[in-house]
This record gives sequence, C-alpha cells and structure tokens, in this order.
Amino acid sequence: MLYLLGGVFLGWSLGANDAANLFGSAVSSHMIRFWKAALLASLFVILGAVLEGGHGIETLQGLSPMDLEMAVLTSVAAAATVTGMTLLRLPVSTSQAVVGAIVGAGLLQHQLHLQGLVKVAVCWVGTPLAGILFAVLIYASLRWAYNRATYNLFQMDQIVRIGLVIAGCYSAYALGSNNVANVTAVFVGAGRLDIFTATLVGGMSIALGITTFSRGVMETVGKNLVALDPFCALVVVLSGALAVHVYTWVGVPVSSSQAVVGAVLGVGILKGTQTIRIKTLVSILLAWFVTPLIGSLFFLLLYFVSHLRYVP
Amino acid sequence: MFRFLFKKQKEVENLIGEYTRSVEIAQEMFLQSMETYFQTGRCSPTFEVLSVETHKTESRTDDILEKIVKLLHEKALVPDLRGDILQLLETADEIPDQFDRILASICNQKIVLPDSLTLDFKELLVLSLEACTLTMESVRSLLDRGERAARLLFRTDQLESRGDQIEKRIIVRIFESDWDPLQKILLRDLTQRMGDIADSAVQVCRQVNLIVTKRRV
Repeated sequence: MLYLLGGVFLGWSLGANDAANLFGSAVSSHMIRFWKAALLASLFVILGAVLEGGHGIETLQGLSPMDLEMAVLTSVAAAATVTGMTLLRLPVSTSQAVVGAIVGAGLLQHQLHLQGLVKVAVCWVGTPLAGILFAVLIYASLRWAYNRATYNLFQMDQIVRIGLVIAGCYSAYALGSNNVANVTAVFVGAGRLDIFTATLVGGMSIALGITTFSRGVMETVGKNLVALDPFCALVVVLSGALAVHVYTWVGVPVSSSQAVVGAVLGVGILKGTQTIRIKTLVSILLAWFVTPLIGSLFFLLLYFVSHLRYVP
Repeated sequence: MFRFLFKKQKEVENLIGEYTRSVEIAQEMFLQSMETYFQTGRCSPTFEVLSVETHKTESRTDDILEKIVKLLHEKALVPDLRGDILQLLETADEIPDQFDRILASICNQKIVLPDSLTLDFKELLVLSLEACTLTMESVRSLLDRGERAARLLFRTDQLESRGDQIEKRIIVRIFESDWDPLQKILLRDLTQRMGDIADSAVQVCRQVNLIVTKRRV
C-alpha cells in the first residue's frame, strides 16, 4: 500500500488548503467551532467522494494510460508541485497540478487523450465563470426571499448562520465529489484500486487534511470571506459549491478556490463594488498555465531521476 | 416554520423588550421627580422618595442588561450582531444612568432652581423625554424589521437640535443673571446634564439605524 502515499499526501494537502473555502467564513467569525466544522466537513467530503466521486476518476484515468510506476510518479509530482508552490506562496490548484503531471506521463508515452484534455481545460476556464453566474443568480434570489421574509433582524441573522453551516456541508460534499479524483484516479488507471476504494481512500485523505492541518487556513483565509458580510459570505460559499458540484456531474475535477473567487467577483458585480483585486485575477490566469506546466516538468524530472542507473 | 430554531434569539428579544419597558418606567419616575422639583425648586422630601424609586428602577434596568449581556456571551446571536447589540445597549444604558445622576446631583448639591428658569427647564425636560420615548421605540423596532429606524432617527435628531437651542438659551440666561457664581455653575451643569439625555437618545437611534442599514440586502 506504500504506493498510495503520494496520493494520500496530495489529499491531505488538498484538505488542509481548501477547507477555508468550506467553513472558513463560519469558523473565522466564530459562528461554529473549528472542531465541529472540521468533523462536519470531513463527513461530507467522504460522503461526496463515495457517492459521486466516480465521474471525475473516470475522466482523469482516461487522459493517459498508467502503470503503477507512472501512477506513483504522477501523484508524487502533483504533490511536490502543490507543496512547492504553496511554500513559494504562489497560487496553486491541486486539479491543475494532477492534470499537469498526467499530461507529463502522457507526453512521455506519446499517448495523450487530447479530447479529454480539452474538456478539462474548458472546465477550468468555466469554473470562475460558473462561480460568477451562480453568485449572481443566488444573490438575486436570496435577496428577494430575504427582503420578503417576515422574520426580524435577530431571526434573519440566525437563518444566515444556519445557512452558512448548511452551505459549508454542501460545499464539503461538492469538494469531496469533485476533487477526490485528483487524489486516487491515477491508481484506478493503474488497475490497483477499484473506484469505490479509490473514492473512500481519497475522501479519507482529504478529511485527514481538514482535521489535522486546516485550522490556521480556516481562521485566516476565511476572514477574507467574512469581510464581505454574513449574507454575501453565504452566497459565495453556496455559489462556489454549486459551481464545483456542476463540474462533478460533468466529470472534471476543478479548483474550488477559483470557483469561490468567481463567486466573490459575482457578488461584487451585483453590489457595484470591487471585491477582487486585479492581482488575484491575474494569479488565477497564471495558475491555469503555470501549475500544469510545473506538474508536467516535475513528473518528467522524477521519471528521469527514477531511471538513473549507477554505472561503475 | 423554523420557530424552534430561534429559542435563544427569542429570549434575547424578550429581554430587550423588558429592558425598554424598564427604561420607560425609570423615565416615568424621573418625570414625576422633576415635576416635584419644578413645584418646589429644591430637593423636597417627596422628591427624595421619588429619586430613590427612580434609582431602584434604574438598578432593575441594569439587572436586565446584565442578563442580556450574559445571554449574548453564551453566543445567542451571530458574532457580528452580538457586538452591535452589546454596543447599542451600552449606549442606551446611558439614558437611565443620566436620570439617576441628575436626580442625585439635585439632592447632593442642593441645587435651587430659580422660578424664572422653571418654564425653560420644563421645556427642555419634555423635549428630552420625548427623545427618550422615540429611542426606546427605535430599539424595539429591531424586534421587527427595523423599518421605522430611519424615521425615528430623523425625529430624534430634530428634538436634539431643538434641545441644544434651549440648552444654550438657558445657559445664556443663567450667566446674564446676578445669581451667586456657584449657583450659576451648578445650574449650568444641571442644564447640560439634561441636554445630554437627548444627545444619548440620538446616539442610540443612530446605532439602531446603522445596525438596520448594515443588514439591508
């Protein structure tokens, strides 16, 4: 089972980094305690992974044929990309790192499923756009309902509070269902895991990252969402989750952070305020190209290093 | 639907309602005390009894406030609203405190009110207390959708401006008179303290309005 370590590490780092998009706003504003949020998020990530994670796995394993060696190198290359870019404080998406590594493997074997790759790339570009679209729609409908509700201010605040927790759970479900493919799809492609085991192992790896290492990110990164206001934070979390979930049905793993950035932008458009700095948008644009490229290069480097032989 | 989710919120709402009623009782006691004072122009035994009663009512408002603060710290509301409500109640609590301080200063400092100022003081008192009534209504407006908050702020603001003019007029008259300088200073302080009631009322209404505006979607 040692071959799974790269994937498990990738899942762990994904959970630790992306948990802020799920419960960050609720935890950093003390609406829910970290441990409750972490347990709920873990539960829903595993549920999402097991119930709907199969679609993404089928897409990723179809991008390039894999044997066990390729699968291990792919997952380690993706994990190294994510870790390296995080350490350098560069924007990074696990999905893009994994696809980049798979592309590296495909190039090496001269066997790359281009149609699948185009589908994945289109979905990446579509992720923030879906975030914007859902944010506009959800903001408009929730505002309509909010302004017509007969509840007083205290009750409305409580509704938003409960809404944030429910949205967090849904967001965790969407993350699990969409991103589990990043963690274990290559091992399914290599014939080492069946889809159910892959989704379970992947979901548990992400859950491990959430419970062991997401506290700091939840409490600090989540504050960026809270800065909006509780109502807008609810819209953003919900829209980001819906955007990710839609791509689960399409069968393509996407970046939950980019979906959230799109949603924040959508809320800003409706409110007529600048919610996102140009720098953030540029960094997303760069991440689309740079992350897969680094993932591919890491894979090729690892492949080269692993095939070096000592000749006396 | 969903009413079962709002148990703690309901408790806070009930206590806020109770708090505003208690402030209104203190306001009524304060009015009676001041009317007695205007009749005699000094601290009479009846005035003292009414002052003690006002003080007791003021203490009851403090007790209710403590209950609300405790409940809020038990995380009854969303943190953002919790902070706003705590700040609002802290400002609102200035009003019964001012009633108590005014009555205590009249008794402790033996302030004698000259007949020539009685009408002006009555006018300032009526105006300040009207501002208080609107303020408590404004706080209660939070228990519905807060739609009246802006209108109540506007009216309280108008009362406060008129109060400022009356306060200025009284102070000018005090210092134009040939009364004892110490009495002048005591009367000036009393006038300012009475004017402060409307100032606090406006501050409370502003905060209520801000709370409502912040939550408008």
